[in-house]
Amino acid sequence: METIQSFLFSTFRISTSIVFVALCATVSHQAGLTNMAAESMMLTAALAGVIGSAVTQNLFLGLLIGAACAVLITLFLCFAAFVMKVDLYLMSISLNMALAGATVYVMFVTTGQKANTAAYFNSLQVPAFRLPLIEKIPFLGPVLSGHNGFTYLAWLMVIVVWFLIYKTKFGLRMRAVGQNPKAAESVGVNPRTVYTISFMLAGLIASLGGMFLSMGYQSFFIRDMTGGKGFIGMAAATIAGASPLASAVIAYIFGFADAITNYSKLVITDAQFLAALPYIITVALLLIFSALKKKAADTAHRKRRLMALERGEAQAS
Amino acid sequence: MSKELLRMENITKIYSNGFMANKDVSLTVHEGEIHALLGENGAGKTTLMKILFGLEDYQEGRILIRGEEVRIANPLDAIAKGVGMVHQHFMLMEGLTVAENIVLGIEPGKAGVFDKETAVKMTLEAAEKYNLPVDPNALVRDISVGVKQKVELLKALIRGVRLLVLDEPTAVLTPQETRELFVQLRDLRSRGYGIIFISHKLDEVMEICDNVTVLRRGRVVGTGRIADLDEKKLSSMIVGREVVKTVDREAPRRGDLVLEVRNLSYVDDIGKIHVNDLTFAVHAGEVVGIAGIEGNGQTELSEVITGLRPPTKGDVMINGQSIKGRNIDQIRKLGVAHISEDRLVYGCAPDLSVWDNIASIYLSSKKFARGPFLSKRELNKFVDECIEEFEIATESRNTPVRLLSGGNIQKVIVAREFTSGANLIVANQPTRGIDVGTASLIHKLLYKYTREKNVAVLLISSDLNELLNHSDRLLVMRKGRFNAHFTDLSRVTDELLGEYMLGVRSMTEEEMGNVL
Amino acid sequence: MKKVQRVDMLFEFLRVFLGLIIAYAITVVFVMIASKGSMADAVRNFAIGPFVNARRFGQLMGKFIPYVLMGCGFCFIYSAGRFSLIGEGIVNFAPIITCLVMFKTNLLVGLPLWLNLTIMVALCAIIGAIVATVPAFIREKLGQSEMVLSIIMNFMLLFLSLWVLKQFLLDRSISMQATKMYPANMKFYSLVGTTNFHSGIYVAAIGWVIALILYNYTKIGQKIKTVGANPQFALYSGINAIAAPFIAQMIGGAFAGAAAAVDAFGLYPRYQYTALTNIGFDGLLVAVIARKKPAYIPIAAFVLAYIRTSAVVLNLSTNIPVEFVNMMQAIIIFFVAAEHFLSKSRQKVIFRLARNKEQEAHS
Repeated sequence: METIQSFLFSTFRISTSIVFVALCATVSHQAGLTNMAAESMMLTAALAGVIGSAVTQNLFLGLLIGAACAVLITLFLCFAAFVMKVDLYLMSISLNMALAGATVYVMFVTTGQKANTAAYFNSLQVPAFRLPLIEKIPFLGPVLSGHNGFTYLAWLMVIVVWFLIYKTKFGLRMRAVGQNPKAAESVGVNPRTVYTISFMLAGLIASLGGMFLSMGYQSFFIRDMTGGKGFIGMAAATIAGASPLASAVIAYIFGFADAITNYSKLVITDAQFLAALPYIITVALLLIFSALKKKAADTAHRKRRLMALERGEAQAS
Repeated sequence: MSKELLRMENITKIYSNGFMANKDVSLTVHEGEIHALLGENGAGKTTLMKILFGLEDYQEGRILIRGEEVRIANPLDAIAKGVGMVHQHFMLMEGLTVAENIVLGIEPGKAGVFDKETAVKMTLEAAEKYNLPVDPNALVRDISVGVKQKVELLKALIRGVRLLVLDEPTAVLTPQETRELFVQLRDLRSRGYGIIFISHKLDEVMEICDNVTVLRRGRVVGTGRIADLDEKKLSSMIVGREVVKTVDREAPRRGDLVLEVRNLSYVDDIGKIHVNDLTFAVHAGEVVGIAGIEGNGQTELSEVITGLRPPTKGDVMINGQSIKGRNIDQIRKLGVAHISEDRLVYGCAPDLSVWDNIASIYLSSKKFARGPFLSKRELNKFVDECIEEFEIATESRNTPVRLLSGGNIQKVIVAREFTSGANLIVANQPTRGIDVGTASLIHKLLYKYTREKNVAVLLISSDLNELLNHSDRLLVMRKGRFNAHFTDLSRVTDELLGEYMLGVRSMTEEEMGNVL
Repeated sequence: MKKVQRVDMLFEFLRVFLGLIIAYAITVVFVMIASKGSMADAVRNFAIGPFVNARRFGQLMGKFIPYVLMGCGFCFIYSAGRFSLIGEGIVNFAPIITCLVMFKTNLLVGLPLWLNLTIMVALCAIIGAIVATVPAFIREKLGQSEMVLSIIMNFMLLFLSLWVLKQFLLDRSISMQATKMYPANMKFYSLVGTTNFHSGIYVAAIGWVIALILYNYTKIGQKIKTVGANPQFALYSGINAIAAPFIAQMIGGAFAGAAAAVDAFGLYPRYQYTALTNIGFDGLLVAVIARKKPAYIPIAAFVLAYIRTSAVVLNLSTNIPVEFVNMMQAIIIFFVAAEHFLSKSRQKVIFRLARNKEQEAHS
């Protein structure tokens, strides 16, 4: 019983970063773009937040600095893709590699070592919170209460993103540009502006996913600490289509797969197989969901075609 | 005496390559008037409207709105000054609701929040005011074409425009939807709105418009009240008397059936019928031309024959073999070559070389191959021969096609298709926008290939000169069907052709004769 | 009269060349910032370090060899307009499966060296091609991103490889996680003393020739290029626009497998990968610098091998982590792949040339 509770608890914890990235990808997707550079934004924010909070000794400022650095990276991506016309995918892949290297470099320049910043930076950490009323709920109480602030922020972010996309003027313009940029332009909505702002927002959300790793769960930066979570988050958003809620749910499913591996330690003792397991599950889920999506799309297309033929028949007679 | 809403005075526009799109064009529309703007494709209508919309600049002339001279900077500015456009292809977001589409850009709400209720209210009010009933909460993806058009109208009206420009508004409507639209247009007219109605459907123009301006080759060739005109007079204004018969043609020696189309229909994904129960044939050694205003199904017909689209009903036989169930490569191997209307999209790969562009159709054949390998030496020789025979002005066979002039790009495409060994050439607008020299070369080649090599040619064009001078037989296509068939072109004038193309006249089945 | 085409090619070359120079200059600045000791020494180590002695140059060649193969493979994938990055995971996975054949069967025991090496490389290539079909499938048949799936699969393949290693091939007599040493007749030997310049270079050379032939002289190579350049034109010409990119990704996978073989069995005395090697991403960069053409791969591979070796030399003398060259790689891609870079000058020159030609024709 307790095992199940702590298992569910760690599912929520582990999924936090993935949810942020999934939301980031959803925002980009609604605007009609694919954001493949989430890992670079996460790493940047993770390191910048650590250094920022250590130097200013102010948690909030540290978070701000981390987010700002990630947004700067996003702006560079926009510049490269929209102004200099580098292929968006190519630049995204390079940025991921570049920032992986750059964060190690900066870590070396500031701390003199390449593994982690634990010894050098006295960085701050977002604390865990106990929710006084929630924790009294039977069974669910210990599952839902006591999480790190970032985890709760992730739940909040699902609602915020949903609100942004479906209830704000900008969200409407974003969806419009994502569906038909020319038509949007004809009523005065500038697609380039919308793309840039959407990307910036996406970068901001991704930065939170990165900072959770280095300022929530732990209080230091480790090289390559994202470990592919950026891509798992992206996979979740791809499967979910454009809905923030569905993205979050699928992100939690993937986090669930990750959590299973921790708990399978009791049953499966092979460390390597355990390490591979979350990825195996993610790959399998991706393939299954993609196949389902294709079938649904084919059926919808067939239905539309039938309707079109009927309309044609009606006209001919 | 109603007030003047729009006056475009002596507008002249010359493009940077010297092409004169509009010369000394004047157009006046009053309040409470529906004004038709007619002319063939390429006559200058689109350019004139782009100027009105701030999408193009102009060298001479001026624009006055309600008597005041204005300079229109961009589409948003045009709307602000009261001019709104409803495009031929809908500018709507399928995944958003009707209300969201209508208020996009002027969304109601405070502090960045979108006030959906007010948007719905705005939509309903406008719908009621202009008598254009729509469901504000329906997704655009789910509504019918007729309703989509109402949404486009509301989009413009809600922003306070007083002059509406409708570009081919009935192109995608059913007859019922067209009738409804006309009721709404008359209503708008009675409220003092001005409407510019761009169309090729002369019967509709006669029914609903008050005045007309006709453009040809960039100039105004006629203007007047509809009440004083009829379809015949309109048609002759549009088509004019420009064709000079310059070429002497030997009568063709018709051989076997090469292309046979039987009861072919094509319906697209939104239910529009582009090809409606067509039957005709092309024999070896002859050029069959298809005339018609663009958008009457000619392109779709050519794409079904060449395999780019699947037939909905009926069949197409090439050299006796049906195309059903065959992919494009197999259809090409039946003996078809295709000069597509969309040169840069389908006809070539601009970043690849001349060599790459000519070799592309031989990649699944044994002709220049030894097993999985390409015989580069043979292909090189072949491409060089093409360059010479078709007089392609290129530095080498490895030059990227994007560096060639438009005429030379077309020569590459023509070279590839003509030398493919096909005995059916489907040519869609082969000389559109091409310099005179290249056009003449292409026409000479078409003649040579039919007379000397017994090739069958299906020539689709909106250039009446080209059709009357370079076809042996001529069909006129309108609304997916043929309404005329000429076997003796010496008696056919462009005026007459125009009347069929515009639907003023129509042949009976008997008059059409044997189309096979 | 080949002026315009030559100008066009000149600008393509300039873009690469200038991009490399600018990236190099920026990187040197980074080196200067990070060097704790003498700045001049650090820069000197970075610039000419790889050429100073045979051992260093051998290291350069050791990187060069797999880069050639990986880069060639990527030419096909990139030319088809795809971004499958599965090469990275193949580098870890293909050799360990081959090790199963090497150590667990008697197939290769008595055979001559050259035959064994051929079998090992072929086996890795086949495994690579098979693995690459999974991202190809999700893209060509299911319409989802091959890039995302391939990256997640890379992590999966890494850990699966370590699992296979631990379960079946672990040498328990040593402290690190590795297989037993490769038998003498199942590894690439060094060509120059004890350096990393090993006989895998012959495989790289053969692979390069195969790539050249495939890319320039076969029907499938031409189909791949055409689909990548304009998929609708390919469709209209009768080319199967699903099969061609699929095969391109499999070819890429095969070359990645070959790269895996020369690296695992040439650079190391036993299979000892414990992490992803980055060779996959480096291969992408090599293909970008080479503008997708196998003909330019050796030069591009040499440039990148030089950069990476410089970083290693620098690391040994100043402790600066080698990862910083990743930043340089991104800068290179930024300039080399930016269509807009130098585009205005290029248009001006071509326009002037065209105008001159017209004037000549009129007079």
